Amino acid sequence: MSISKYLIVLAFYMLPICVYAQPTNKHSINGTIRDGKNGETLIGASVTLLEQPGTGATSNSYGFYAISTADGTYTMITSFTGYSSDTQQIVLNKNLTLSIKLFSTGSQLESVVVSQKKRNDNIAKPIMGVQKLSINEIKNVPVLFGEKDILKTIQLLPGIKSAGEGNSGFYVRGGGADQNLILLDEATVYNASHLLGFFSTFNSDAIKDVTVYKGGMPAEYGGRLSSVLDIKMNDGNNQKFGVSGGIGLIASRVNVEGPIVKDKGSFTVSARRTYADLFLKLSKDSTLNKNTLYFYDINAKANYKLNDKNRLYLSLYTGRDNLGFGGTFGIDYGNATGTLRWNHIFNNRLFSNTSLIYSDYSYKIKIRSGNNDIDITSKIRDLNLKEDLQYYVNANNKINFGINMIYHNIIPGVVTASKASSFNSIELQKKYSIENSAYVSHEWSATEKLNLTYGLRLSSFSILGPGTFYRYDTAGNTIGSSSYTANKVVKSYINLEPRLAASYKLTENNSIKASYTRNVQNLHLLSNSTSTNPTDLWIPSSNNIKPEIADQLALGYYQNFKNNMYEFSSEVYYKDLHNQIDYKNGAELRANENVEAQLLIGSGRAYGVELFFKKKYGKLNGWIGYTLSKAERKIEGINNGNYFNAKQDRTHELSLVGIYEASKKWTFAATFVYYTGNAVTFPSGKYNVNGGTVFYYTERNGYRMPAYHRLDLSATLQGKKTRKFESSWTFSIYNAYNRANAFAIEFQDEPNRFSYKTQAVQTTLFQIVPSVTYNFKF
Amino acid sequence: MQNIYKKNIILFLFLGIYACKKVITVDLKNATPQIIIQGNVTNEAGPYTVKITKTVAYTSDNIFPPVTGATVSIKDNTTNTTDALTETLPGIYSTSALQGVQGHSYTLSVLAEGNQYAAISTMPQLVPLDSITFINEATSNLVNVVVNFQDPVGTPNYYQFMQTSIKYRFFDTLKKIFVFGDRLSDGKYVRRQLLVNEKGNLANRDTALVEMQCIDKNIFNYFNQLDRITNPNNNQSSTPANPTSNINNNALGYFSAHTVQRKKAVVKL
Repeated sequence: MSISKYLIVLAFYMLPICVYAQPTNKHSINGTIRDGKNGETLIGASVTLLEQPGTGATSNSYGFYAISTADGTYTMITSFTGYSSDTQQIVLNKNLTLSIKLFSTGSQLESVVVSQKKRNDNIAKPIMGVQKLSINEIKNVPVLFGEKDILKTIQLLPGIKSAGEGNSGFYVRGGGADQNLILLDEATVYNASHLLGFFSTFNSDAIKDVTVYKGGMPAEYGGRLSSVLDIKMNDGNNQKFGVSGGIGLIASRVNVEGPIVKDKGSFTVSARRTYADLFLKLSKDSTLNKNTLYFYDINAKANYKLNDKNRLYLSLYTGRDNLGFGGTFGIDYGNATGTLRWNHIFNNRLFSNTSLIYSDYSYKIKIRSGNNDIDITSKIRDLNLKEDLQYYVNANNKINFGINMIYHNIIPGVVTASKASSFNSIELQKKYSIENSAYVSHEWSATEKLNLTYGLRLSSFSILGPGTFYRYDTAGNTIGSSSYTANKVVKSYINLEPRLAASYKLTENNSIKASYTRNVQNLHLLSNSTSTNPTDLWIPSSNNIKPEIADQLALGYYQNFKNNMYEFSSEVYYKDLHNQIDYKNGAELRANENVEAQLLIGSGRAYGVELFFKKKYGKLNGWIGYTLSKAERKIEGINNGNYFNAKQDRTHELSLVGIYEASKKWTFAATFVYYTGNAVTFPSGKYNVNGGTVFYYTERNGYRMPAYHRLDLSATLQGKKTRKFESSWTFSIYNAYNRANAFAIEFQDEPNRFSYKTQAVQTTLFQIVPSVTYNFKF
Repeated sequence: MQNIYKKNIILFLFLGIYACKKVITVDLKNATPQIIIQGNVTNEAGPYTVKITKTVAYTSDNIFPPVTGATVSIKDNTTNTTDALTETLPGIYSTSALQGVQGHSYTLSVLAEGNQYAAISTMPQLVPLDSITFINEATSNLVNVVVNFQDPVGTPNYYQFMQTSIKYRFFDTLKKIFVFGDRLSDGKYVRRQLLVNEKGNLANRDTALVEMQCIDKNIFNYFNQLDRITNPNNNQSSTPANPTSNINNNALGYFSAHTVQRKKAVVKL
């Protein structure tokens, strides 16, 4: 089977649509859009021609834009949120290369009275279920311990739910936490959390842009069912050298950036480390002061312009957690990623990016207890080659196409035990697989009102030898096996993933949209705990496990008010999930060669309504998000095969975010969240076995945790700004009115041993938590 | 490997500067009473008993009504002899002549409240318990019991340990059940620490009584699952469910044919 063959067929299929009208005397304008002050490329800036309303382009991930249209004289306007617009007169009679610099307005206090129209991309474009956050928006939102965090801020958007109190894990539109594709400069991050989920692996100092796709994923993305979280790192200042940093309650951060050669290349390095372990050392309690507990992150990126047509980027990330308990037990885990990219401009119309990507997640456990010296290691490593091409056919047509090959190597577990240990050393069979895909999509402005993006992604997944592959009966007993030699294909799955999105502009200020997306997932995270664990295991699709498939249909209505100062959107979605994984009662997922025999396979559905109202500009800005939703699973052997609530099912979810810029010195922000408690399994009776009370359960997830709500506040004081130095203080309060939210509810006998009663005990993790952070820049 | 997860608790302790616990009221449904059958056959001298009770509502006292008037029998499938049990106390049924033998399989039959229940269990060969010793974990200041025995190579073996701690300083006994399978320890000399448990920890001059049972696979699965839902350190880590019983017809409980050995030791620090 040849992916490229399919690609060619698909490209031919689309060709007639694009070439139907190619009048003579057409030329194109292209170039790169950058921040004039630090040279950072701007992603998603818009370029429009005043004389040709409806004609325009948006800069891509590398700041590149291209428009081609009939010859003439035009007024070209380039704009980007938070920046002053750029207006130029151009005479188009030959192909032009025009690089544009935009200057930040300095704050979000963008003047309300403007002569030209604000951007209304959200109305016109056939983009659904997409949320973009700029670092400016993330910066002011209060979070736990004052450690600003992308993954916690996106949880305030409708349709995205937190995996738990203070947790950086998230669920999108009823999907699982492992169904999110998290990309850092295109590299998959397999475990995006530190300290068992309380912090994300993304140091916000190093991040430029965050886009979340809850649905309607463009065809270039694939591999996970629920969402794509596309995170882009800063390129570094190509104008001047600078240092910035921050000192917080939990961690300190430092960032160094500067030009390699002015205007040609730049670099940036960001690092952060926590120091909770230093506090532990101060403790007099000997069970605490012998422990280690820290994590660090290092992000580095460099780019260099070889010439007008070629630019190279190198991005690196490494982060690791280290937890140790008095020398008897230790675990360290973390991700490492690397991306080498080559941007090449073939001509005025064809932009190419070639990426070579490495990503790696591993953990190592050390146990030194009595006679037991045991080391356990596990690793997942990807090598990924990706080619993306963007062809700007004319003002109304753009074609994106590309191919992608990923080689996955999973080491599920190597247990090394000392000779005197009670355990045997074992090495679980390594898993090799290859994931190939090709895609084509067409962005088409069919009429002034109707815009379409449609495409097709073809993905194939093959599990490769060497190894022995077992077959199981429904009870989980081995009924046979086959052995394969190296690189022999054990099993292949080929899937077609259609993607379609359309928008129809009713007026300049409102539109309706529809989308359909199919996603396929071939790597599955095995986790039978309610929170994410660093030792959760990724396994590939196999002869026993079929790819997970999700079909999502969404409809939306979009409306802007008051010169696009306010935007409102509502989306309804329905999602059908196939081959969803659950676990047999008492499943043993650790160090188990026959782990696939421990799984139950079923289906699921999720549906809901999301409302979003945002004020984009002015002294007071922010948003209100509300979600009404349902997420269910249906699995043979659970709840008599009937639909039951998924654990992330929460009926209502409300979030409010307000940022108020009181003066040049003070900015205040507040967030409020309310949601229905998770679906949980509680007992409906009790009995006694061998003298101990045992609870009796009747249905899966038939109960609810209590409703959750919380208010967070923050105030930022800007210090004196000089040309050489600026600083700020951020004071924040997490859970300001000290709500005792339930993290867990446990049922147990009353501790008084003369009592014959049982009780429910609620654990609250974080009560009111104040924090302070100092940031500087010079 | 379980203590890896226990020790994550220490991390929560650190975060626990902020954490707090309180007793709350939860409105729970009241399921129709279910039958629980607990039966044992051992290599010790009989009589062996089968206990039949019913579930109660969560809000009720921990007093479980006995099921009386049931017809109960245990058959030795190897010798093809059946022992009809007699109800010696309400809900407690005893054998009269049956003697458990290693390697024999037994069938339990119960007719209670018009429903028929059955279970099969095979008594494994006894694996000798060499000794019990103590370990003082430097980091936890807890004294724990260690059981020492040679696991036979090449066969799957399953064990259950019941530890009773008799406190020297004040009158108190604490009972704890541990199960252990040799999935990752086949053929090893096992020095197994019975797990850290704040309530069951030992101090100088306390006495530990340990009963070691060799159990079959179904019973191991049953108690392993039971431990997951009853151990407070575990029950938030996965969705709780009723343990898979070896008794059919949706009865709760278990029927176990197992060997028994006991050791006793006093902590001397």
